[in-house]
Amino acid sequence: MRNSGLTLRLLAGCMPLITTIAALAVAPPKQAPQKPRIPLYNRDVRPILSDTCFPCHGPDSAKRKSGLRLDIQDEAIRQKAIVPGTLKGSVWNRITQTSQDLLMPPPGAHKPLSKAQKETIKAWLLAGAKYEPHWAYTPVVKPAVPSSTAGTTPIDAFLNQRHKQLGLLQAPEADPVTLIRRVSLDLTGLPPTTDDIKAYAANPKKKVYASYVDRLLSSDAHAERMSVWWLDQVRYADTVGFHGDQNHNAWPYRDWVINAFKVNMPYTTFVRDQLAGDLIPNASDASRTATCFNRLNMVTREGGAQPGEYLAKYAADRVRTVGSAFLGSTIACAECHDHKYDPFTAKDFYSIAAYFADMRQWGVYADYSYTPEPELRGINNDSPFPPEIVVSSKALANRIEEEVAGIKALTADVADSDPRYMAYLSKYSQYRDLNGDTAPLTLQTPEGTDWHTPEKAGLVIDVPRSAVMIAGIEVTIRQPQVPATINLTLKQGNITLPFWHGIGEPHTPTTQNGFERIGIQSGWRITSKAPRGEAKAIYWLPRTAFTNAGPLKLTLSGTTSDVRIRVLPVHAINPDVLEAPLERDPKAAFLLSGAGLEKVSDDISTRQRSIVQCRGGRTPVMVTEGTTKPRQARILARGNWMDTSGALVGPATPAFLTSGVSPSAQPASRLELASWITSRNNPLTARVLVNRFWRLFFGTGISVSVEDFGAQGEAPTNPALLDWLASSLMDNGWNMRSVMREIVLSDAYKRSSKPLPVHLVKDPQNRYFARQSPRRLDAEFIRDNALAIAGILDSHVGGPPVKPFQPIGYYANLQFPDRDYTVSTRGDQYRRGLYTHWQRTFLHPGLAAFDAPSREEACPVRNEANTPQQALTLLNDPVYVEAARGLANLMYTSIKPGTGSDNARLDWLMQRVRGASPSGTERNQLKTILAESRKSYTINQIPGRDMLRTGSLPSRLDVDPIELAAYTNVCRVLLNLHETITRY
Amino acid sequence: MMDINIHAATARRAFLQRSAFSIGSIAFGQLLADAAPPAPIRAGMPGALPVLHKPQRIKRIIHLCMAGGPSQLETFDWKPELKKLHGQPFPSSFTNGQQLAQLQNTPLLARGPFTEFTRHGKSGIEISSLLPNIARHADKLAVIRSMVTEQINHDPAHAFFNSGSILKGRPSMGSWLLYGLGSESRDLPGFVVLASQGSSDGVQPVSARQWSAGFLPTRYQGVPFQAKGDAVHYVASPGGNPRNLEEKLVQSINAINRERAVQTLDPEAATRIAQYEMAFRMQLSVPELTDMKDETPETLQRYGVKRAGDGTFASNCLLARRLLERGVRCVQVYHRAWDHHRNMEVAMPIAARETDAACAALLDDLEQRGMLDSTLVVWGGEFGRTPMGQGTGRDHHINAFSIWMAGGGIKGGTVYGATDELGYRSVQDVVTVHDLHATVLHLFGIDHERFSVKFQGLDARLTGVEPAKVVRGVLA
Repeated sequence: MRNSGLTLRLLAGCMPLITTIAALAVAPPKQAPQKPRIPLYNRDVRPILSDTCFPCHGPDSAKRKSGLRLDIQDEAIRQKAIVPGTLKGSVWNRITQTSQDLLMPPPGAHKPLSKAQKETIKAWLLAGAKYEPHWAYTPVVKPAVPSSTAGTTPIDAFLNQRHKQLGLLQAPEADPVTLIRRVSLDLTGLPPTTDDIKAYAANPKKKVYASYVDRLLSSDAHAERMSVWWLDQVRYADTVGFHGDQNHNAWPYRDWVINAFKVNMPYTTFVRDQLAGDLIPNASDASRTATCFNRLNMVTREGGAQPGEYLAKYAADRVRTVGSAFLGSTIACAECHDHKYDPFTAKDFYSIAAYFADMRQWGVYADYSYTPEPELRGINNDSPFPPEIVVSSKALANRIEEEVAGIKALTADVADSDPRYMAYLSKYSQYRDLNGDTAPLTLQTPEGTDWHTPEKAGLVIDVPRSAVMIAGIEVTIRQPQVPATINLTLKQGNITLPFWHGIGEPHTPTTQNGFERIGIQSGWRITSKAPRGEAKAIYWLPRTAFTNAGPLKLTLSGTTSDVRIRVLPVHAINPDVLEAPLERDPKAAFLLSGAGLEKVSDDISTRQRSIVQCRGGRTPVMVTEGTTKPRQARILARGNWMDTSGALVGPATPAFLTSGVSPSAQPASRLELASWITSRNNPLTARVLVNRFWRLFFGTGISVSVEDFGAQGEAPTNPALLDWLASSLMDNGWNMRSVMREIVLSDAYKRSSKPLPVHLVKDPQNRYFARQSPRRLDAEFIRDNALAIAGILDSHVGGPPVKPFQPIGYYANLQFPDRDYTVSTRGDQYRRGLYTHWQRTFLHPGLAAFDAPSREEACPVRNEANTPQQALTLLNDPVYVEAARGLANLMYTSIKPGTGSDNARLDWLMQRVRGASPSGTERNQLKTILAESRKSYTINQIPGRDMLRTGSLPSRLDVDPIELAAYTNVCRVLLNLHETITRY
Repeated sequence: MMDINIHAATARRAFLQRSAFSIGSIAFGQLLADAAPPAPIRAGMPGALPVLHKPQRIKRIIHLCMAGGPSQLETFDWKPELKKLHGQPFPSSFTNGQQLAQLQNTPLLARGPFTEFTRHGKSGIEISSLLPNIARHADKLAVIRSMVTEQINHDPAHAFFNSGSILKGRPSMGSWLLYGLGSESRDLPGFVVLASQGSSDGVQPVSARQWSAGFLPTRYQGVPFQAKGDAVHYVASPGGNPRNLEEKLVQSINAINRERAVQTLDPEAATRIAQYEMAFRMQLSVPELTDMKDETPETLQRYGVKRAGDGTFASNCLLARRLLERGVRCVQVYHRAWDHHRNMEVAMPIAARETDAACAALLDDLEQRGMLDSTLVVWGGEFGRTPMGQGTGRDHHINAFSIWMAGGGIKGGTVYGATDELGYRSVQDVVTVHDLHATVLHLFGIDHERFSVKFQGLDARLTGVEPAKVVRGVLA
């Protein structure tokens, strides 16, 4: 039963507006009379049978009643449920019973058939009860493109044909500004620049549009945008999800995905590397990084968790993800029983799970006395999740380079005449006079040798005054007696000078919340695991110490002998390189010593700390490692992990999907699963993928059920188009970018999203694509768009997750370990949303408010809610207040303070936000805000000033704070507009 | 058949249904035309159930969640035989082939309860000395001693207790209720969560998925209130901007949205306007709600509140009462320190002290305000604890645990179900989590079998696919 009353109530909140829209919608409210048509099985009949009959008379053999099966034509006829061309079969008899005992579906199922549904079945039976194979399970055959006028894209040829059949008028092309904004937001998640808008508006030619599209498609931003989509499909997150929800090292995988889209990796390789990159001969670090995909399921480290139970959970999670991400199927339903609607069996479910039985993994990622895991001995709540490998990261390497260049650049600002510099120079020359450019000073023993033997209590060594200046201490151990520990303390008089960083090789690291503790400054440990031979370390002071300021004493304690100590006079620009530096540029040496301007020193410290955070450009990442002894895989009756009565199964793919394809003679591995998924014979993969792409660009798939291509899903409204796109994808070597290009270059894509009156009658939900649909931006892009408009988006690609401002105490309910949240600094505060630290149990509230999924489970489609929390987020989340201030700041760079009118400023802002001047209403509204803000802040300036202090973005100092605050309010209005967070 | 359809007037929901049932087959224009005569706007958000299946006994629910799994053996399930067996090997006839958590691969010894039990009220329900204040209300309680669950670890067990499923992405009970029945509050969320850590040993984390709306639209999810910072995320205006200015801001946003909505015919723009209005009302109502100045010192004392708004369980209970008074449909109050693997004789009394008075005061206040008849109070954890000892504590246990309910439709002074003589297994009138959910829905006037939503081709229910039953024995 439909309930229009319900729908009305859902709309009740916006009644006055609806009335207005209703007045505009000239469409007559009555449905046009339709010609009687013969129901088609796939389109009309299967949905009814599937929903109401198949649960008891379908694929699930365990739940099948009376042995009757209606999903297979021969069976239905054999059992006289259907007598084609007549109403004699039992189906018609039972669904039209008046006796409650005989009526089907039984009243207890709460699935009564409507009159219309019965009519459909009747018409279908009378017309011969023709079955059709399920559209998504038949092989993909490339359909011929309908004939059309020259210049029509194949996509349009298919759509035009359908629109003609349906009598659907097509919406006109969107205006150039709307179109350019649409395609930019769709392809990159970022708005077009004002210049791009102007250029296209001035010359809205197909060729110009196409070249703009190509530029977008090859951009980093496009790769990032597509990654957001893919990371949902594979449930990427930065934490493990269960219980303590600890961090795990997955972000290099995220960067791998970004790079895959950037280089337009064929989907075949993309799938293969993720499932089985470790099994490729001579697997590269990159393809091994891709196998982090198999590690993205939620895992636990909870004490008392039963390893067997969790291994079963992990296995099921992987099968669900393979089903959802690659096949658009709800194989998940076959965990406890054969699928009720689709031909997936429980055996299929566990056979897919068996592909992953070779993975090295643990049910519980810790070694508890009650569930011992000897391989995990020593692991605690701060440990990472093995197995991991260490790989190099382009993002980290770039960051190091940038920071080094940033420090070097500062030397240009040092004036030769700066007195502080001159003072430093005199020390520097003293040092050089004494030592020249040769090796740093070695602190010798009283006996005059280089090699000290530390004492337990600490060996105290005087630093001679002749050392002049000390930036760091180099420690060399000739041959460490493992396990060795070394501790170093430096004192000037009674004051301890703490080292801010130390680097030592080899050393045995410790970890903190999943990450290796950086540096050895709090203690240097070498265990037997480390390679033998000389060991070396450097400890750095934050500022250079001078021997003339007081006697310096070094205390060395440790458990190994033969230790050489040298004092390093000059800081290194990169403190993470294990080489004694001799900074030959006195200006650099001066800046690094900390003797210069406080602000510059702070800047250098920040950059040096950032270099250190980059860990030499290398990072651990969780990967898949195969074992030679795969775990046994068996069918778990009702999904119960304790039930070991089920049959053992080996890796196998669901037979019905690719019948006629002979299985490989090789033992089945994940590699073969990957090639089966992307084989041309697989009817689902390409269809699922192009349908999901279509949804990205139209808001709805050609089949609306992008998450379910099974019997309970919805048939495509233009099957030929779907199959043509799928075939083209495969013909082009699974080239994802070319499909997307094809879609956004079609006329259909470019149409206006404003419905014509006829659309509201004939296709209110836009299933046939005679127009575009407005779409609210995804959570990440709402943020990105605001930051980009404000000109404060930091466009670094990749790297470790970042932590934007978050309400305090948000992680209070997290334990094992307790969590704090250290807000990222500098540009990392303004990175794209996809880089936000993805805490599964407590996703950043700004992202969660806009329906970003927690990614505990593969998420083929996000919800698109419209809530008061969204309004509060855009109004008050610091990042949007900062973006508003950034936008106001930016406006003043174009229209200098004290020049220009309010009108000019409002024009500029509206152009910036949406590429068009304000309407009369908008102008009036914005002027009201200006006036009210000025009035309010003139009476009391404090709230405005406080607002300007939100976050860390500086305010322009050359603007009257009242004016800046007033314009910030105007910008807040602009960033809150529905239009700003929607692409039309 | 009653098909619940939560589509708004847009096809773009992820929450997809077949066209035959969705409003897709009603022309949009029709909808708009029908909508033209302005219907009286009821307070709050309407529910998806056009008619209830049966008489409604309660309007709201509060779940006092003792997270971590309180021991039933020290609270509501008195087992003298177990006490006698204290320190002896636990009979293996009970435990063979059963799931264990931290007691895996260790010898099993019986652990007798360390608390005293006495009979309370006219009904004479045995309640331990740990909970003297709750015990005062014995004649209001229906104690279920025969609860069982399916999940033996905290995280999945909470998920199961809240959503009836361990699959992620399933709506919690609060979300189901809000979706089905709507909210009676115009300016507060309909489902609110308050969590406090507690100060004893045995603290457990709790995830936001426990109040997730799952596949239901986000507006049905539980909204956590914080003790630190803004009570609701982002509810405060930046820099303390004056309210009248913020009001102008919202008005301008809405005026511009209104103009554009008409130009674009985008129904989401219309919804957006309503959401900004609601958000603005929340900005006023949340501070009014959380400012507990008007509560008397006597009240604070009854709840055991040291400083109102300090985020303790006691303060949260008081806040919960204020939420219920303001028409909030569902409140969950977590106390997260009931995981007593060790040191239970010290830790459990602390956890009890931090919660007992507040739970009792809440019952008092609801009764005094005439709200208890229309409110359901549920007390309990995600599972119970083993009758076998684990050093100085007890391990997780899923075969038997106790909860109580009180309030509308509940037969006070009832003990329902029983465990065996050692408290290992529920043996009489076993109540599953799905049964409990079915009972809650029943009290709200909902038939759990007819309350479903299509998700991934299935009719998803709070009570799952297997039969569940309403626990008639606890109903008045």
